[in-house]
Amino acid sequence: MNLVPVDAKQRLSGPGLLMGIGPITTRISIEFPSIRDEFLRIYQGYPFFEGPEIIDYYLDVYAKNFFRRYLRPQVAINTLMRDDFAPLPESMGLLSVEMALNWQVAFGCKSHILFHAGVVEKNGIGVIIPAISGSGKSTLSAGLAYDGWRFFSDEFGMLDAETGALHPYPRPVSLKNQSIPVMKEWLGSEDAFSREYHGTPKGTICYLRPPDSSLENMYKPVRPRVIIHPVYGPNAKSEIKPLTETMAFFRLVRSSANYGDIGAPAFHALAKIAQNCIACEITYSSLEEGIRLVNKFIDENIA
Amino acid sequence: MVVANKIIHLNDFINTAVFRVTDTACFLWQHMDDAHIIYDERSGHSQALNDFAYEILDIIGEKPCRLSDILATLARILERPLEEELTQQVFQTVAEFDKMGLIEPVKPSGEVSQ
Repeated sequence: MNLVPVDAKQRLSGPGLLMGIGPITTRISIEFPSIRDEFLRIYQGYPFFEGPEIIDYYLDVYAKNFFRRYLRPQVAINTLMRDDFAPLPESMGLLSVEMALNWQVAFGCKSHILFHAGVVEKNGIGVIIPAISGSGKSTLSAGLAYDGWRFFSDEFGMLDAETGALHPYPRPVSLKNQSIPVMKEWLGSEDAFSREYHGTPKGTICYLRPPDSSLENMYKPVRPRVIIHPVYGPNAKSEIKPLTETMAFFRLVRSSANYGDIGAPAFHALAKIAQNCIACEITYSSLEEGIRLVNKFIDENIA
Repeated sequence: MVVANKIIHLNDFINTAVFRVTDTACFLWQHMDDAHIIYDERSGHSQALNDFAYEILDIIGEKPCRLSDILATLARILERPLEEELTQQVFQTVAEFDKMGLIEPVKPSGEVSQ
């Protein structure tokens, strides 16, 4: 059952709010009203449950003591994973929430093969965009999402090793530095954006809510058909370079957070993807050009 | 000249040791368009072998052998003596296999243990 916003706020401040995104359900409680407001603004339209529900992860955002709550407010995080996050000022509380959610998935998820990758889908064609940080995968994934593609994730590709299907995990897109004005211009409106967080270790960060249609379809998996490795360079010459099956396989292995943990089933699943997908590396210098190359590669190679 | 000595020792080792493929039950294979991928369940590591390396591992896998045996078998398959460059490639491939843990040295058959 979905809760109305006021109930969601009450549960966030009390027993915890259950949020189900794709295959993962997290119980979240936040002690700080300002962070609750920011959280509910960027997670507007996401499914919140009353329960009972099987909970995958737990997230408690709290102040360690009275002084850190009211005098120099500082946010501490507890995920029940015995982790030790550096506290952040209250003004950066939403960053703590997002980092802790990422942390739990990256280190705790063993039910799916995880790729550090963007994933989008159109016409039943699942596209994996594996890349290292700074290669533009978040911006490209978000750009595609607001250009008619269904958004799965800008950070975590989740593959079911048994069925070979990709599952959506459409959390808000984490945009950094120059990609923020690019996406604001691309959307033409600031409604779907969080405020900007300046002075973080990664510079300025801003979150972007995925399109409503992607949230409405967040439980529909898709079969991967395409692997696109993006390489962004402000002065780069546009290029599409095909990848062999072996190259595609090792790019997936390199981007997987839990390949070694899952073992043989992951090896077979990734090999199958590499053999059944078409793969390329695209080099591009603007979001518009990146999207054009993705569409061009798919149009020319998938009937 | 410690470095030189070490190189000489490695050369001697690769040239004279009898190798066998380590526990093959731990290896999973996938054959791609341009390489053979081996997954080692013990380490969780994947490696890509080209046709040449795959053939060499196959020769070692048939029965434990020395580098000279591998070279002789390849010469028989190719129906010609191996050039120096190819011989060097076989040497390097065997050394790589040893480093990756795909093969291991064994006591030559017929040698009596002390």
